[in-house]
Amino acid sequence: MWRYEKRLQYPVNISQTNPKLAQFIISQYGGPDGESAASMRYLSQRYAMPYDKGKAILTDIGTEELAHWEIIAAIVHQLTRNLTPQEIEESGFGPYYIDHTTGIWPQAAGGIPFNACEFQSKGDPITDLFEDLAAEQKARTTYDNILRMVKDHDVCDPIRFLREREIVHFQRFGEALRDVQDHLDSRNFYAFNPAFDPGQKPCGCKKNQ
Amino acid sequence: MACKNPLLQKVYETGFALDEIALYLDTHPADKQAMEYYQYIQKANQDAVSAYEQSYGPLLINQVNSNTWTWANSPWPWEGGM
Repeated sequence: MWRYEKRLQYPVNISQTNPKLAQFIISQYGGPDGESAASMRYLSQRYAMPYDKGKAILTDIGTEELAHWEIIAAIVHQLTRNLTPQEIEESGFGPYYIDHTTGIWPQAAGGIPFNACEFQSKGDPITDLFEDLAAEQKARTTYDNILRMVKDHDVCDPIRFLREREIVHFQRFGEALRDVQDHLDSRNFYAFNPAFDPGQKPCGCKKNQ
Repeated sequence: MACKNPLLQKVYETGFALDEIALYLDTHPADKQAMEYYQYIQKANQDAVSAYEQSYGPLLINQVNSNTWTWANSPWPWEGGM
């Protein structure tokens, strides 16, 4: 069960519009390593997580990602306020504008719509946590790429905050992975899937008597 | 369907009443009778949540009222039996 808190996790106050930059940053709203995929990934993976530390971290990071999704939308919204048709045409924002005006829609920077294939929920905690660690790194790389394109402090500031959170989440997922491994066979962490066949190997074969 | 725990059942009931009256007030902000019902159910919900949390731990991450981290304790809501 969720309730909405009527504030952003980190403030966004952008005075100078920049539709070209909005088109880059929207990738973190609906792109392959964006905040929507992050939230859905972690919240969906919770159900196959057998251990309390993992359940808590997936719930709490998945929830924080929803707040990051909102921050990205706020940035894109403020970068595209009060645009003139001329600004739209000159900035290259035209293709997005034709389909969505200045509404917020989840797509990648290249225009590809959001797709659930951008994340996995594999029903195996080790597999899932390795994906989560990679996802946090991929999002950090994307924020680095965005930061190289941004000159405006008002935009840099919240983007830097989001980048820092990717690093913290990577650390916490690493700790959650270590906790899962502490429950498993240290000689072979993939000997079985603790979410599906706890304590035994997945093979149904029986030794010959 | 009623839930097994009477203290949690009260949270379900008052929580849903709060959701319902809030939506109504979003589109009818001048309805005084609805506002009075909101105030009544807001208090009932706060009392129900406090009573549940005293026995079973926090419902929200900012309501851990003990010296140990009880937030991560089982059971989790999707596991049933709550």
